[in-house]
Amino acid sequence: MIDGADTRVVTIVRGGTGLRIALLEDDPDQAALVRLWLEQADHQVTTFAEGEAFLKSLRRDSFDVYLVDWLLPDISGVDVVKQLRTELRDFTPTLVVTVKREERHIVQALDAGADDYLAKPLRQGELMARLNAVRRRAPGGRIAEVVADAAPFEIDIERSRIALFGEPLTLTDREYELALFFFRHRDQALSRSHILTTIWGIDNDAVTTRTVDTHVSRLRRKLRFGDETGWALSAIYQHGYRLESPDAASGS
Amino acid sequence: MVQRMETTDPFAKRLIAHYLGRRASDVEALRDALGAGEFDAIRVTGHNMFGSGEAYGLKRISEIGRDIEAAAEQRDGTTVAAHIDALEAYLRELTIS
Repeated sequence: MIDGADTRVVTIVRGGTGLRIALLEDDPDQAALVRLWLEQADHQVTTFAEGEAFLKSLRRDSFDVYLVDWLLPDISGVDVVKQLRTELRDFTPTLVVTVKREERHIVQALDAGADDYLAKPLRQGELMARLNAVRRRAPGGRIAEVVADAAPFEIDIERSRIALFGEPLTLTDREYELALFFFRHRDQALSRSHILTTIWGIDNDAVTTRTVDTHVSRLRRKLRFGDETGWALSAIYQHGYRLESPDAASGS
Repeated sequence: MVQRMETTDPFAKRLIAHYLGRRASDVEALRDALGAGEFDAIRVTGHNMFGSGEAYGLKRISEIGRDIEAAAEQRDGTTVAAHIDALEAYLRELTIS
């Protein structure tokens, strides 16, 4: 696909190897090249040419990182970031990309809620490095904090095990991966599609979104999400699921 | 002078060829826009060329795009026309291997 910015295309990826990235870029040449770079690095890219279409898609989908061009045909990339942070309460790591290089523009993008800023013309190595940096800084990127802040659960990354109140839980590999994915994205709405591609990989024809629902249901039971643990795994209508940490679940 | 651009990735080669094809179309579109006095359309085309050229390894296209954008902002048709000629000449000299 050359004219990447004109259509939404879901790429087949191996489950869990890369990031799901939303690329908001109206220039088809720029979009096609960035898409190539990201896919070469095993990331999965969904491209949007307009801000409104991107924001609308978030009702049904979710991503690990947003890459947002400043100048768009309908609304500015900075306004997109503002809407994400203030109206949608969406704090997914976001990089703003633009030819604007003045300090006031960089300040404007960061003040709007962007995590980083990249000047065009883009350079492949720099893009990848900054992408990795925002990924590391994201809450789910700091695995040590994820593990340390999961009480009453104890997550043993080395042995791929989870214990509850000191008692080891019996989980399949897939259930463990799914649980860890939720813990890494706590308090974040995750679409079924996001879960499916990350945990199973969408090249597996045998897996449907119904499989996600079944596994979530089993996980809810095994991890005893609810009053007993303080963690809640909530379904989001026509979207997916959100694991709410005790603080969020209690509304504090 | 013939400019050479080398890549071993077949998909990247196709992508670059497609990109250059679009720039060749830009030459005609820019001349049409200049004839119609549509400086805003010229500015946007220059802006996009500036943003994408160097990323494709074609720094000269970014430079020409930047110059076209600046001249269009000034509504300077003579300078725009000169930069379109420069773009056409550059594309003619470029080969991908």
